[in-house]
Amino acid sequence: MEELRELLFGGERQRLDKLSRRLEDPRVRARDLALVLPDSLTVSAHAHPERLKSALQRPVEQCIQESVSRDKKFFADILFPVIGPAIRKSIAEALREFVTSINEAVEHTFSPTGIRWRLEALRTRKTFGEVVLKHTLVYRVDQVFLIENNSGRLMHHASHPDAFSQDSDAVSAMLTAIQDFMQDSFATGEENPLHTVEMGEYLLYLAHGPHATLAGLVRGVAPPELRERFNALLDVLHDRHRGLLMRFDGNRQHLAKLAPMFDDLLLSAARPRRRLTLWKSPALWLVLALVLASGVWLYRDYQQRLTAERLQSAFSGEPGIVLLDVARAGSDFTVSGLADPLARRPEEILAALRLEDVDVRLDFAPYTAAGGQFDLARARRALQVPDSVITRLRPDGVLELAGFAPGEWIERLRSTVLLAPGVSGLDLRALEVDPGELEALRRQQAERERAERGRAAAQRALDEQRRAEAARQREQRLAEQRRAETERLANEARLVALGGELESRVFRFAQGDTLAADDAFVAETGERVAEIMALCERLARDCRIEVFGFTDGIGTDERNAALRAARATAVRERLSQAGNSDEWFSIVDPGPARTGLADPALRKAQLRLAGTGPR
Amino acid sequence: MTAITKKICLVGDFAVGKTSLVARFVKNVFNEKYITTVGVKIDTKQQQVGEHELKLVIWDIAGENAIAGTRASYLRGASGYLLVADGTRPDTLETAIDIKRQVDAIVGEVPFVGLLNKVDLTDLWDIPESQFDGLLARGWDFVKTSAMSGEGVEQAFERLGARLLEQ
Repeated sequence: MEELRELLFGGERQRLDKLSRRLEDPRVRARDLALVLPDSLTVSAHAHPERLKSALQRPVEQCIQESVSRDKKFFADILFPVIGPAIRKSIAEALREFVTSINEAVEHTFSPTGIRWRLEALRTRKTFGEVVLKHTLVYRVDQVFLIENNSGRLMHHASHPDAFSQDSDAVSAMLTAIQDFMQDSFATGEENPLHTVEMGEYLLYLAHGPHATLAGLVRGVAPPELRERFNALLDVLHDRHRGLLMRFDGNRQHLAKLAPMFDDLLLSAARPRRRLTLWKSPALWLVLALVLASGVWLYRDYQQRLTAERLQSAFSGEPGIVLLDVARAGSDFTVSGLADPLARRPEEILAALRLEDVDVRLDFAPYTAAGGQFDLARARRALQVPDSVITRLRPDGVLELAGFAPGEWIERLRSTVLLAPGVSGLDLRALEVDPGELEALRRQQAERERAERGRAAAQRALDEQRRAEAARQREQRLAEQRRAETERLANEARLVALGGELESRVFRFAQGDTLAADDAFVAETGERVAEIMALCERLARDCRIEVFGFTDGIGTDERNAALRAARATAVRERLSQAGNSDEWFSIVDPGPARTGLADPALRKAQLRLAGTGPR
Repeated sequence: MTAITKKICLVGDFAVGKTSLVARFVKNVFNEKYITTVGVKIDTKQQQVGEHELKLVIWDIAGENAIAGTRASYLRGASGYLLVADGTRPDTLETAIDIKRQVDAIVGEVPFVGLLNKVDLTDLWDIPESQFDGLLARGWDFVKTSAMSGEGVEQAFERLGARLLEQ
């Protein structure tokens, strides 16, 4: 039996044993499986993609998690080639938008348009950015919604980063509700859905498909082809991704891979920017003005440097001039230094430069320059060397003089002790007196002597004449003095005589105490008084005429004193009336009469000359 | 984690407090005037159910005895609904029963949670226990709520959310 079995199944048993060993040995099984696994995965990916994904998802996720937690760098290195360019692209895009927005902000901030838009923003209470957007943007797709037709649930939402976005799920549902409301309210039916809603500057596009509606919120004026883009996308979604749409269970993650298609719909178009013509650009004018100003400044600076160099060169190369500084203050210059009086004057040097539109102030202090040329010139000036004499200063300091010169000058030169600086001695051997000069000198000398003699004779005659005149004047003065003295004496004699005569004149008072003197007597007396006073004036005497009133011894003393005063006063008044001055007279009371008897002779008044002594 | 979105409707008779009920618990997006103008107001509410993030898109449909016309189309695609009645008005429960029938006819048998509102007005509570028990026996799931105090509202949403994900 065994043999028979061996004959009948021997080969099979061996294969079974072999198979059994292969199945029981894990290493052999693993090797066998490795041979078929790649093909198996390929077949499965085509035949049961969802099952394969589902089967692999968990272990693959766990592997990645494990790998990341163990070595982050390893995973980062793997991802770098992918993430690097993406990040760079994102940053570049952000920077581009940033630069564009700065450009627009700058352009619109300072331009008349910018100011107008700012006013509009204030008026409409919008942000400046919104106003700029409104004016610069033709259109922009702000939001895109993919909405499940049946429930109004949002399947996907994409929006522009700057766009205002509400709860997109609620918006999506409300949009569906409104469509239902419109269809039901106006009985348009599902075959006539809502296509467009206009709200101010916004436009809502609605593209309808069997399972989903694509809605786009557009700001501005969209081109007709935009609607085509919406319809095209909706067609693509229903053609290629119908399964995804149909199986939508509220989990948007399942449609995430479609996101780029929606992002592509977030289109926008800016208004073609008016190119600023070059000449209208304020910046250009500003730059031009700056360049011009810089150019002018540089040219002026160059000119001034040139002037400074010319001044430097002219003054520093001039003998006898020591240039210390050429100072510049704006367009003005100050040239300072030392100048030998024998050198060219600084003003001449400056004038020779013919500088125009430049104000140059010269500030030079005098000094003595050393050196042959100046020593020689200084010596000629100090020694007053005539032009006919030539000079040479030897190196040893001796001044050689040669030629004809006035003998007197030559003599003076010989006796000169003080020589000019830089000259140690004189060599006069070649100096001769000019013969013609000598003759002329002699002639001049003779002429001078002759003139001197004439002058002396004239002086003597003049002196004689002066002496004679002095003697005559002296004689005349003596004679004058004599005559004056004689006259004085005569006057004094006359004064004494007149005084005596005046004292002898008595003014009588009649009964009733009236002045008894007649007019002729009074007039005569007045003439005498006037003559006396004239003589006193001539003789320089302070003469006065004393008037005495007299009474006899009868009556009281008071009565008599009053009477005396009245009588003297009456006489003075009469004389005043006769032409005499009141000031000449002074009333003097002689006192009561010594006798107590009645005496008519005492009813009188008399005059007396007083003050005839010298002043 | 991306939330799963579900559409639910809020239905019930006039003045049972539907809008007030949810006002404090949802994200208000639109003005309430929509209810009177368009007949519906949409709010959203996000909640965690187990390990899932669930976003409920709540269609607050204007209350009426019968759901017809426009309101019928608002129910389309709903994954579930909250059926609201006023505990102080027994007739609103009757209406709710009627509305449920209409909703089931439009959207099919979808999960729902019944809300007996105004539980804070216990003195005025007027639902016969017999009627209540009858509905429980028919498999109705009820939560007593108060828009005033907020009692039971979160619970009602959570319960409906859980049932939506069970599907």
